[in-house]
Amino acid sequence: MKRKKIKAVISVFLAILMLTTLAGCKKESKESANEGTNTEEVLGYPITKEPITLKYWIPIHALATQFIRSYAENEVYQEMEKITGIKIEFIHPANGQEDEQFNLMIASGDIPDLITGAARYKGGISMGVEDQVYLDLTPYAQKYAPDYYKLLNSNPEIKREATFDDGKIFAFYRIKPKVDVPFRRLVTRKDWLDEAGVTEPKTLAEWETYLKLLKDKNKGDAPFILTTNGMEGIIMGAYNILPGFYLKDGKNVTFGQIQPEFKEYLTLMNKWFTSGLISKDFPSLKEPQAITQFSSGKTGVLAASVDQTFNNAKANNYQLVTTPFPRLKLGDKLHWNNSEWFVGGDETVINNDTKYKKEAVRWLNYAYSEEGAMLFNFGLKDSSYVMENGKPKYTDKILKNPKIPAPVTNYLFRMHFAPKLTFSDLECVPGVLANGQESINNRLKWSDDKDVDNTYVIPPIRFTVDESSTRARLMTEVDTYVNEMVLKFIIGAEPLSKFDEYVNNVKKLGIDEAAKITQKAYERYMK
Amino acid sequence: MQLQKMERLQTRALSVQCIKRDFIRNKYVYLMALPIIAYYIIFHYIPMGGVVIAFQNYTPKKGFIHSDWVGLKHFVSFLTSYQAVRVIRNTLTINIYEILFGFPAPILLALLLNEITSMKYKRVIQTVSYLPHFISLVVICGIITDFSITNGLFNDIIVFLGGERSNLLMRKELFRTIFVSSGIWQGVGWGSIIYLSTLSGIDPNLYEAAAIDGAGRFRQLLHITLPALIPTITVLLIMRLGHIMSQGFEKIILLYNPLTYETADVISSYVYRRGLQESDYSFGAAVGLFNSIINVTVLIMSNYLSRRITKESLW
Repeated sequence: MKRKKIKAVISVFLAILMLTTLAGCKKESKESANEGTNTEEVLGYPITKEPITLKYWIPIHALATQFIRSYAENEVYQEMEKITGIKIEFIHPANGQEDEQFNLMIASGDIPDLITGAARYKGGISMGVEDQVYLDLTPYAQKYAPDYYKLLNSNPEIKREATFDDGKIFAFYRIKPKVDVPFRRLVTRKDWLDEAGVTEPKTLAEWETYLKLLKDKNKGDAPFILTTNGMEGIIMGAYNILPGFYLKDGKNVTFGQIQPEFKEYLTLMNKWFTSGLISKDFPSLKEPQAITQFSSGKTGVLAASVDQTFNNAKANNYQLVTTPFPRLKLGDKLHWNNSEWFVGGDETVINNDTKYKKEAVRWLNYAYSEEGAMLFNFGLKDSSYVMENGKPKYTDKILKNPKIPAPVTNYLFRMHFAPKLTFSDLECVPGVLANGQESINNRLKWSDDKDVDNTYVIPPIRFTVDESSTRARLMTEVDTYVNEMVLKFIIGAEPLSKFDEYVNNVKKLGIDEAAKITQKAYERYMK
Repeated sequence: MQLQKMERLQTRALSVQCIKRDFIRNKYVYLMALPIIAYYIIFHYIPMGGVVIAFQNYTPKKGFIHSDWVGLKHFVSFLTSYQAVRVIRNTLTINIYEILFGFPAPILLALLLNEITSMKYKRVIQTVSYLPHFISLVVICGIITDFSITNGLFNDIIVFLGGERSNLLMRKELFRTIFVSSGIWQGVGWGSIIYLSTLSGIDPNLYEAAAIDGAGRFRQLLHITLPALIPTITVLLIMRLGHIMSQGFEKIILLYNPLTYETADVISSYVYRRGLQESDYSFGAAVGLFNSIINVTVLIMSNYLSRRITKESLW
């Protein structure tokens, strides 16, 4: 209580101090800005001389809600209020009801100044702009969001992902110019590998041998927990197909689950399942449960986050082994990669009718400026992190906080998910840095594989209203049928001789039309 | 002819007078009912107008008035979909199972509790049986999943009884059993409250008289307790039948997986999956309206039958 009061007093004092210094030196230029002579507008901080309040609709992360009720209590936004002079009134939808509450908000017509997660708009962001609910940022970006604008133009691929037709700017995205190396791999334990007397498997045949050895030695309940829906991209990747739509030969949109290679994949999985190499319970085990089983030694192999399993292994005193993406034979070229795109989510738009358009744009731009990015990615200087040899280093407040678990600090002391310039995981994610250089090396292992590219992965394309509604109708039917049949094939409830019949049925459900729609959207995107 | 008309006019005048007098005499009762009537009009009747979106391609921006009309497109799209027959069948079967096995369970429990003479013991049993009602569905389903896996508690019991281990939630023939029986376990205590309150209203003199006439406990149950419960049972049963096409998606999606779709996928879970890919209000409204029409039809029919057969009915 007392501390809060002191904090309040200090912040009021600081605010007054800033206002007076401003009033002293920038009075003239401020006035000219009000008159609208843009040439002399000063774009420094704070953004406004009179404090204004912006309403900000943003989903709050479920982990954060264990400790705070609103991002107003997040240190990053508190600091930002001091710097920009803009007060933010946060509106958080209840966890799990984001979609409903977003739609209610739009339907009510009472739309806040800023909205994160704006792609929920029916027909997407461009439709929101067309309906004049969202502001077209194109005329504002260059002048009022210079840092964001510069970032978009720093790389044509970033620009393609973050802008709409003709390079129009509609939203601020979470952008990571230095894309991370893959985080999900097949992992196993060093001691079990040693016991089996093999090195880390690199081909599917080697995996089979290893799983059999584990089975023979009765290690755990089952050697391997396959992903819940039976379609493991990492293993399917060895056949150069992907679950769902992918770009065959880097240009043709194709549905993975009806390819002849998929039959080979199913045959292998069916063989593994019937010979007891795959857990009998895999369809009812969600990923967190599977990770728990792996950490507690009930299974030996898993496809999962290498960071999370590494930290778990540390805590349970065994050594984790990550493996390269499996292949049919050594040296095969793989055309998929589960790394990310430059542009992430958290797309944020501005209300078309807000009084404070320029201020809102400038406020959002701050997270892309040098000091803003430091604040969002690392938190408060000398509190959450210190500079060591010119590099930021987390303090124990983040890494070893006795009261707040490390994953939660992401939403209390830094802003992990927000429209911002994001640093790579290896630079700034506490979960990756928890065990220092060792965990960084763990993540980096195998990432220098020269024979892996992602030419088969479809970029973040966008659909029109009609396209997405037709596609949703078709794909609900297709997915329901495919998910059902895939599991049946794997556990042997349906014989693989029925694969051709299955492919025919998927075609009858309209997969070709859905592929055509996706192809069209892809070609539009690449233009 | 003339006389008849006069009579009719007279009765109408009389009934108007009656209502007027009733109003004056019970004005406070009417006053008290006013907020509830207003609540129903504002929150239940006016929003019914929103059902028009079932016939539109509704978007929030355009609103009810300006959205494009598409007629029965969404109904056709649902009924002609590949899975329509299966999800309708599953919704009906699960509901019929629930009515067949789930509906009598609280009645039985109430009757059993009624026979317990030790008040303390009765209270403890009641409290324990209410408890599951207050546990979140997510937790309940987590427990069910954990118990059902190959090395789970249920399988330990099955093996003890000489069966073989398997993941119970992966067997489509068991889904309804697990779903309905866990529902009974969770709701039986809570559901018995209304019957117990009816039972407590029975005049003890009736039992005394019956005992003097030589009726044993079972006879008393058959001729006093059960008849006293019949009105409550009838009303609740008719109302339950009015939900024959409804089945919430929450518990279904927490328990099913593609292997059990064949018996587990119901209308609401299908709409939910479809809604996941796009917020299609109109489609959801169309399916909801379709369900409601069937629900109301069944409700009216069962009410009519009940009035004919047992002389008990909702109206």
